[in-house]
Amino acid sequence: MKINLRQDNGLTTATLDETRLDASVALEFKAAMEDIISSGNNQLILDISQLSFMDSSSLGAMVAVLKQIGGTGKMVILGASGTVLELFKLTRMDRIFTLTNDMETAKQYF
Amino acid sequence: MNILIVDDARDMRFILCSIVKKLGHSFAEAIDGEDAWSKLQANHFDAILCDWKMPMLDGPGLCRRIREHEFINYIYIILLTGLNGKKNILDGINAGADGFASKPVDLEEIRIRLMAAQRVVTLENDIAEKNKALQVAHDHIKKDLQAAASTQLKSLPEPLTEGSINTAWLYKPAVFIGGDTFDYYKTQTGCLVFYSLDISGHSISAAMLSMSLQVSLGLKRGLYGGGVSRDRLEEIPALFATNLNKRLLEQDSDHYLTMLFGIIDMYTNKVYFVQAGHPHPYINRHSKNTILPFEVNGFPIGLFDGAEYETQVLQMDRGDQLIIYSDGISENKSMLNNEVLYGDNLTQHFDSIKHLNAKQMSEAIANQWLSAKQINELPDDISFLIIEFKDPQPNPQDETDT
Repeated sequence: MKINLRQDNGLTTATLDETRLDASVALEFKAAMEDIISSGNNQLILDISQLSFMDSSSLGAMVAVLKQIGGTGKMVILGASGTVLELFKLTRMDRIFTLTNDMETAKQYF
Repeated sequence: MNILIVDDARDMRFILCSIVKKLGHSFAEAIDGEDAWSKLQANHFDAILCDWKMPMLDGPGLCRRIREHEFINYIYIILLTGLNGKKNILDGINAGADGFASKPVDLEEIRIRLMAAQRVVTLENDIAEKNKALQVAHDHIKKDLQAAASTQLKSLPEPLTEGSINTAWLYKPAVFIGGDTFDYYKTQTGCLVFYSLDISGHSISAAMLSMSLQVSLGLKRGLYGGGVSRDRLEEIPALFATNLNKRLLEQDSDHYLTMLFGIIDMYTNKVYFVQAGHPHPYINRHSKNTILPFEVNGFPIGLFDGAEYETQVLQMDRGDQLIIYSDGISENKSMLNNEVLYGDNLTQHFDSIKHLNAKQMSEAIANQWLSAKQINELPDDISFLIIEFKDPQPNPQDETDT
């Protein structure tokens, strides 16, 4: 699981350097994100623009991450497209997560 | 250790035997490579002390033969050599020897060489024993899983020809047992309650949750908020999803599920259903000759407290089909065009089989879209539930009225 971190003025951008997120890596993804958040990165842009496939177990992991960041922090998802975006819509997660397609808009949420 | 001493010179054998005996090992003798080979077949030896040059079959030749053969235990080989030089040592190792002792032999060297042999033999025996235990455990788990898979398969409903409905289904778990399930049952009020659900993940615990839900969903009238009466058909699906969401969150399991749950009024062929994050169902309209996904979205069950659900209503007609399936199919490429069975490609695949009846359709999916190899190595469970509509059933209530 490769996640690249960049910190800038209290805002963290976590770029997921993977093309698939499925049941075989969902737990690993969740654990990696939980580490990132618990080490103080709670103003977070999660860039998933490289992702071309995501299944429902990874969606569950994504929700767990969102719940962890909870009331104290904020997370914006950047770059969901194609089947990944369709999964967000199918499961109405587009109403739960803040989704955007460009970095400038993403930054304005903070 | 039990040691085989192999040398064509009788005096040499005598010396080696007395050393090995002094060191507390049991032993047998062989007069050349061939003689040793037949003795290795008949008895168990932990190690051999073997001369290099012998008639019939020499030391390196015997080494090679031993390494090519599958003995139950590892046989440690020490080659005795008066030959010096790196090439000889390398040839010996290449043939499969573990160690060397120089001739003329002395007790101290043999003692140390056999100590090394003992370490390896103990380690090898230990590994073999653990492997055997693992194999037994593995076979046991595999057998249990296969039994569980057969129980799971038996818990799925028989295809149904009842009232205004025919059903057919296809179910293929990823590894023996799966987190997908579906069921349907007829009510005394002329309705058919049905659902298809997919528990996140495809582990054993997902399968157990899927089985326990399958057993309880039909019976837990509490989730329906009362009996399936005809005046509540629009209310029940959304209420059921809301109640199940609450129940799953209370259980605090790591799993959540996507589901399509509905009720068919067999007197009118109206379908009342709730869509909870399950893939968009396909609707085959016989009169229009079209088969298209019904694009309605919804929250999965067990992710968010207070998620809201709504009941959809669909009017079906004679010859129409409703196809409900889990997302597992979309992790596979079709045999027909080598493209992922998702989106437009899935729609095209359905379009080419829209003239088939429910049973034929389920067979076409299993046999034409996917290869036998794919079905044996599915990355996720596959399930399809196909409901085919005939003329609405006459309402006995109407008959009494007239």
